[in-house]
Amino acid sequence: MGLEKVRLEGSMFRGMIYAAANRLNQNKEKIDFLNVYPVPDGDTGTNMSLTFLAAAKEVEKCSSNLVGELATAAAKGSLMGARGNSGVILSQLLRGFAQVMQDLHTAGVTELARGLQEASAMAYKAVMRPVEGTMLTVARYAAEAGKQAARRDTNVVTWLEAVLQGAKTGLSETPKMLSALAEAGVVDAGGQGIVTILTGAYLALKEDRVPTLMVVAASREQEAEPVDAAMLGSKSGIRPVESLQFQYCTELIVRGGRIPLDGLREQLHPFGDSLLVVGDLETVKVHIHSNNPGQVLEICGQYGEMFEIQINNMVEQNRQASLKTKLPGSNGQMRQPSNLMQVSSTAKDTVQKETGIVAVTLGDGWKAIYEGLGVDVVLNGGHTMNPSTEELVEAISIVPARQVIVLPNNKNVIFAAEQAAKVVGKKVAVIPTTGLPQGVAAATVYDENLEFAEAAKRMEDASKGVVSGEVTYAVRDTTTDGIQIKERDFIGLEQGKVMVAGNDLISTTKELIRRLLTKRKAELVSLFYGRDVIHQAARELLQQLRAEFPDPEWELYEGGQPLYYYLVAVE
Amino acid sequence: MPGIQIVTDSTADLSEEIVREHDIEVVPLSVSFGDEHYIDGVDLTADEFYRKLRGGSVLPRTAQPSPGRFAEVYRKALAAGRQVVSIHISSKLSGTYQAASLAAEMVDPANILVVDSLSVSMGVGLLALAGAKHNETLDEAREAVMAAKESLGVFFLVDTFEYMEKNGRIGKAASLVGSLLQIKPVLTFVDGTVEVVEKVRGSRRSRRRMLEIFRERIGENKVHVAMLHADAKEEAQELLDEIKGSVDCVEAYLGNVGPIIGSHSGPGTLGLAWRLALPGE
Repeated sequence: MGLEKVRLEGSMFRGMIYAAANRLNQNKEKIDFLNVYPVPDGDTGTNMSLTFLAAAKEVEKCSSNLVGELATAAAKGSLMGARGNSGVILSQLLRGFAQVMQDLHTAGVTELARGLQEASAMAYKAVMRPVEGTMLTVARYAAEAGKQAARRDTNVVTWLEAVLQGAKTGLSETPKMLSALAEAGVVDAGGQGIVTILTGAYLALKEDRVPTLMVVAASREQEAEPVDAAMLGSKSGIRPVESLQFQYCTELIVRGGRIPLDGLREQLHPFGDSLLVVGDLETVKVHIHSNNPGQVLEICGQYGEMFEIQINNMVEQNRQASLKTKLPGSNGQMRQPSNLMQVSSTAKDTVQKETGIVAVTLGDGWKAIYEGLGVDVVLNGGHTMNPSTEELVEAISIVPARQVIVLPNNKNVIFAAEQAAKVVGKKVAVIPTTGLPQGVAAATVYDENLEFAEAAKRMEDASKGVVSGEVTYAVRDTTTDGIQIKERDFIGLEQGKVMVAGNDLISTTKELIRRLLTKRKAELVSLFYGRDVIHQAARELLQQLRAEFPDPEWELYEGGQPLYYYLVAVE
Repeated sequence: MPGIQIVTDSTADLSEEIVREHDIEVVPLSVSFGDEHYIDGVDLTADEFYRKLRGGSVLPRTAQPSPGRFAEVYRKALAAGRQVVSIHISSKLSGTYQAASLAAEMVDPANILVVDSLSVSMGVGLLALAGAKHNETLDEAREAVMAAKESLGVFFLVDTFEYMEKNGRIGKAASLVGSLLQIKPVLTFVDGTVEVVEKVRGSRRSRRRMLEIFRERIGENKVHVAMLHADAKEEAQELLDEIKGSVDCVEAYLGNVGPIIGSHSGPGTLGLAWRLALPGE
């Protein structure tokens, strides 16, 4: 049926995006599972799916059926919805593709091929040190196949088939390029995501079908509870009480021509705080806490048409939240929901600070630990530590400070945090902390008397002085780093690399710590026990370890993290 | 007999031997546990004090000497034909300096110089010693004390914030009290109030950092140092040995944090006081 199709129409392109999003969503758990390490927090599939879904939702909102506008919408949606490294790379692929498509009504194979090449180039450029054997490789193979196919063929259906074939070839090459993949017997998860997206798009094109976009019902996105629910006003829920001197959370999207972001930001600035103006020249998302939502709308209206206007009374929301929620582990310095109203009445006295800190964490224990260290906004990364760029932007923007230091605390969040830093309109330093213990070391040495860059430098240096270990369980049988692992085994990792495996939690944990301590002279060892470990058991383990290794100092804290029984910090 | 009598108070934490050797007059403060009252160093030694502090539930209270006690000491020195340089604990932390100033005013202000060290413990003690070594004339003593005060430094580590907090002397370290993590900061005095030099986790790491930062601060200079401890002699000795091995010391003392400072910092406190050597020392 599609044999003689030489131009891709916008309506079809829309269907391909929906189909790709649906297919990725259906397969996300399988992709999550494709992890070099058999750890339970693989989330590449989930991250890519949520990112692509954000792209598809933006496409759904786009009333035009021109290929260029749809591609631009997808790029925009993915940019703010990007989660994790794979999500950020995916957003860059869409952005590169959109740059070639942007003025086109329909697209032929030559343009599509150029689009894929630009997509691949954009993604490579965005990664500081590109690694082959990853989704970058798969995107590059797809682009190369597209370039070749465009020379001999004008039919978009057979062209896309060739692209998909190229992507699959690239995917099968990934274990040859990265030995860790070969050892674990898997292909690259992000690369699999690309193949899944292309497969969905290809099948829709071949069958000439425009499906409806499936909205994800109860995904881990909801489960994640992005931040402390008690402080929550908006859906993403990051809201220090300070901002309650402004009562109405006002959000909207403005579409118009040539909207000056800085100008709009400046104009809205006097009307409240937690101001967020992001987007591009045509579409801008505005978020502000204000006592004059009417005036905010009036100003925004001057720049274009307004969509998705939401005005929420945060005082009322907090009243409700404070009735429901009790916060464990807070100290007097922190904002207790039970005193929420009392705190908010004095909030007017709180001065804007020079520098503030945002930390991505998970678990109540970690939240309290970070708050105790003076962190201004604690963003709950959820089950697998994967806040979206948008959530990071919001967290950074509500810190009552002009300069913000961000502790991503996971290697997969660093990239998203750097993306957020680019669009937020504040001076931001992202400390590349790879784990929660590293973030603690950084937050501990924060010195408000130092100049911004120097303070950040000292924090980064401190974070590098920590070696961390993790204890979790295996989600499948595998051999990795030369160690045989059975599903359900407990495994101990050093800086993300499997060191030990066994069927007993205590002995596996001890063995991991022995490994950690033989290599270096430790002064301080901190154990942070997770949600599934009871305090008594952790204390007994600590006593045994202290008896075995009397030399370093030992400390034990409740981290409350899911999936990881123990996180260990050796300093 | 040299022309100048150096006077200090018992918060200077100078040992009996040092006091005798350098001809320094020490005016004691007093300590009370509930209804039991003691004169620092006279009827209460540091060891006895810490035994009481660790054992009891009553927090000790301290009291500055009366102006009359200072007046007595000043009159005795003047009667012997000497002038007085009187060096005391930071006026931001205690009323001792004020009592001494009042006494000087009453007795003979022209011949008594009262100095606010803006420091504590052996920080005060090192100034008194600098004066005692240059005690021929009032000008000479004043110059030596003021020059020594310029480069005076004190770092300290506390085992717990409990005592500083209860006594309201916690200063800028207050923000660390609420932390769930045990923070063992390197602390100092700036203009007489407590400030955090660096936040550190782990006692051993904080001891190491204290020495590292100390060495950074003094550079290649020769120093007079004193290592003080509140019932933690072993750790103090270890640190002092390390300093002696790595720094050019004119003199190096090991001493007790006495009951007055100990009441505020608690048992387990370690302190390091230093000043740079003056030309010719």
